[in-house]
Amino acid sequence: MSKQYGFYIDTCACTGCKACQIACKEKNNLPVGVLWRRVVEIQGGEWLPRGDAWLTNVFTYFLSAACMHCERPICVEVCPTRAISQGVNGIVLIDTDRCIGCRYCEMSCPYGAPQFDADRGVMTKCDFCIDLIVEGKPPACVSACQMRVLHFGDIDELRDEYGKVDDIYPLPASTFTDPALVLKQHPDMHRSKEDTAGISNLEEI
Amino acid sequence: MDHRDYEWQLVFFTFLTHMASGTFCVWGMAAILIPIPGPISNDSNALLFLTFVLILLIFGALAAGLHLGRPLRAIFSLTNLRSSWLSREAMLGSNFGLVVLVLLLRRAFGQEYSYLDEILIAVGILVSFALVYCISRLYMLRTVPAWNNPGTPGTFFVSTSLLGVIASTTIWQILIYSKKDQSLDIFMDRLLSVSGQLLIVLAATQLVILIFQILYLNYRGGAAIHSLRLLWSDLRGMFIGRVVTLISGISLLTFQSMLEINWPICVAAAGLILISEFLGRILFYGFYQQEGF
Repeated sequence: MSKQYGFYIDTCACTGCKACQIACKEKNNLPVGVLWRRVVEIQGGEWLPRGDAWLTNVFTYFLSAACMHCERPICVEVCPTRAISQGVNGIVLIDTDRCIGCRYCEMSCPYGAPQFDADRGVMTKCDFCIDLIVEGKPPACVSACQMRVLHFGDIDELRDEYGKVDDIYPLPASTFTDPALVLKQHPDMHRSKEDTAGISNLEEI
Repeated sequence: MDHRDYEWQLVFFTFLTHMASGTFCVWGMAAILIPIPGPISNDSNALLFLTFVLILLIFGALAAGLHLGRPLRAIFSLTNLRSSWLSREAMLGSNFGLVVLVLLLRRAFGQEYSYLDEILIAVGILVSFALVYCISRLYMLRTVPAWNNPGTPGTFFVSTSLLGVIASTTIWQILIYSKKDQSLDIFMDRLLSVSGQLLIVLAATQLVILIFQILYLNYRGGAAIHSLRLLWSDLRGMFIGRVVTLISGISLLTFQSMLEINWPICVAAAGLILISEFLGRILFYGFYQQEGF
């Protein structure tokens, strides 16, 4: 049985520096508006009165998200032209020569991974830096991460090592597409259901 | 991410395709099942109906093409019939257009109306039903709760029927008026009466489906709640417009059914329902929100 590559992200250690995002954009020469890897900022909490004093319980954590190269990719299923396919090591790729830019994959993907390149009229997405993988090197985002938060590898091995957490807020339930993703949970993740919690950089991502 | 770009091309595509399918089905069923008076017999009205349907389909296809990043490669969209509802939609849309074109050419070249036409009409009706079903299924993505519910095929079929009845009745009225034959007055009154009753039932069904969808989304939670919030914040005016025009259309038709035929009221009611359906399509694309972000 062939491998299924996936990402591991340690959200406890991520500082939200966005080096992964920039490295991806630079390596793939992405146009303005297209971000294959995006760092989502989740914030919450408030100032609370305690007697004459004010206390804060604010929290922030970051989640670096790109295509999850799902084991059951909905983009592959819905693509009318078969431009999107699941290749070697489970990596989901777009053949831009076949893509007609219908944007149906964009509508269906719960991770916002396929993104429209308006200049070329086609969809684009993370290709796991397959050219680097072939050379035995890690993807650009993994190499760029100064906190060593991002790792990649066979998803079974990653799950054996780090467990199987893959659908913390703001990610969708993993049952939709079975993402090839393993996460280390930030201690404040359980507070993401609070009214004050939410994504603070929606415009950016 | 922000999805409030309304997808105008898709709004026009679905609106025009629904109207084309509905018009063809209403005309087709009438052509097969109901004897039509001589002056507006199947032979003479077929040309007008089929031309109208074909024009709608052509403009619908153009609108869909404008949505594509690379419209010249649209032919590739037929290559994933195995799993993509969009691919199936493209296939059925092409087949439907082909059936309409063959029927139109047979009429245009004066071929005698025969069993072959009836078979083609029956095939066309089946294909158009399948097409509307496909259009609804392609939006029933498991990651988009606002679309992935039984209300989507329900509202698409009712919308198709509403638009079909309105367009067909209008075309028949134009045909009857152009003949200036008083013997057709009874037929015209009966046609208006039946169409009015049909529209009341269909529009009321559309309203029930709308209420069902809101209750369903409220029950579903997650991204569905986000869609509801959008409906009641960014899209509130349009949503209220959709409901008000629909209820006004139903009310006018119900009021009209108690009186002698009154043209301005009929036209106003049909116009309100048309506006409501168009707003419904805009809202459909405006309030979707995927699970996730």
